Amino acid sequence: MVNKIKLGVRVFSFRNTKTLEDAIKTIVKIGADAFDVTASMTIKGYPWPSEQMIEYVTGLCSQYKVKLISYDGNVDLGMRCDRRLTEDEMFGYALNDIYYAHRFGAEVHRIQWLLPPSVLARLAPYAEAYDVKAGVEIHSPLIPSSPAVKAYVRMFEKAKSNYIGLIPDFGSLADRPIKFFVDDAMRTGTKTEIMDCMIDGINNKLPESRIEKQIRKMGATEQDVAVLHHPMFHQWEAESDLEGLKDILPYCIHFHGKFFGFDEDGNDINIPVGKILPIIRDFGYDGYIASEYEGNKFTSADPVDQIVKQRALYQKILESCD
Amino acid sequence: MAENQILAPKAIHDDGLSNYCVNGKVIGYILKVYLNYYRSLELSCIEKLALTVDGKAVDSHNITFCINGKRFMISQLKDLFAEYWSLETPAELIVMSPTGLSKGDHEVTFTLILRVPYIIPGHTIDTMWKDFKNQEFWRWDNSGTMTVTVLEK
Repeated sequence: MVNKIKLGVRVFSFRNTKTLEDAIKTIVKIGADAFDVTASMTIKGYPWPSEQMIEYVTGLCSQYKVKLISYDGNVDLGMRCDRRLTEDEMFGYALNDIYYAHRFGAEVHRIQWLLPPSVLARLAPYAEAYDVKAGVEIHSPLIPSSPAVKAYVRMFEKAKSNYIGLIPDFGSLADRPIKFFVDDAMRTGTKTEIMDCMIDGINNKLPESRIEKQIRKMGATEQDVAVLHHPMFHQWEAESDLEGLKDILPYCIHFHGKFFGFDEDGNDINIPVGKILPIIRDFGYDGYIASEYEGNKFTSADPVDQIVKQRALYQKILESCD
Repeated sequence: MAENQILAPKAIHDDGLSNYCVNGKVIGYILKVYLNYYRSLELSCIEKLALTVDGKAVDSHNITFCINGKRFMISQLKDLFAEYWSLETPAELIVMSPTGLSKGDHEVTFTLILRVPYIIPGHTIDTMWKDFKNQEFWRWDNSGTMTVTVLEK
């Protein structure tokens, strides 16, 4: 199958160790021509960037001959001290973000997973008016087959709009825990038998409350319990949801190539990209997968080196015949 | 150009503490604090902000939180969901104090607890949309104690 997938880079990978201009220079140097920005991190003035900022970023894109693929927003459901945002308010914030995505020349606007399907449906005609595709990111602990994702799919089938869709983050397809996180926990006191019990429990889809009871019976410390409930821990399924991925491909407008690092053999440490990439390729997807390095929480590896390695791995997989 | 700044890896820099002079007189001191997070946040996400300098708690009524060209009371912050603490510019906390701070080292304990407005631990997406009363967002304790030097009186 001919590969039509293009590879971009998410500036998020560098956290705040580079200016935007340096990040773009780096991206060009490693051979990419497209990037994503997480606006609340990189674009001063978010959610209402200045005209000067718009000129600056679009100027960088012209100067370095790169494309901005995704302008990412945030759904800050808990921004108020007294209550959550209403659906109308989430709509308003997302509409504002879509406007700025358009101003920055982005093709895609990433919306966080807190925005319900009904609100995404309401955004469709506005996304079309601004010529920006708006997608909800499928981020762990969601997987493609989650009931919440199916709710989006049911809505897409009714809405029939090319301007709304999904953005799977590869972390939602992880099939084991992040080795660095496990190693850190054990290095700082979590015993092997407790860790094994937690990993077993998550593999068997036990509720966290039940796993917590089990490990407390085994003498778990408060640190162990904190590990269990940590958002970076329970981010995998025993089997990567590849069938679920196939079902949602018609609605995917962008992908985040999330990764944490590589093992000694050069394989991704927790995401089976060897199986995931051919599925996306063989569907005929012709958009971007944007590398997102997140190992900086755990190791001092150079994000740039890691992304170069990942791009080479992705190219190798995409160009191989199954 | 401000857009080209490398962002601060820590909240308080070496030049983060200085005296505040009006009409040639020291009437307080200024602590510059960068948001020590990976993205900007609404000021209303500040759940707790407090300051202790050289072992003495500062009365929050004596603190003015200056940001984005505006000056706020600590008690106002919780309602400021349209005002953002972004990463590249520090907030300036002006503390009114008749003596200011002597030249040299001072121990500053900065208490900052943030509500992370897009993470609800323990809920999955499947339960979140059904449960609008419960608002238990992730809390991020950004507090710390550090020695900061006042370079001149």
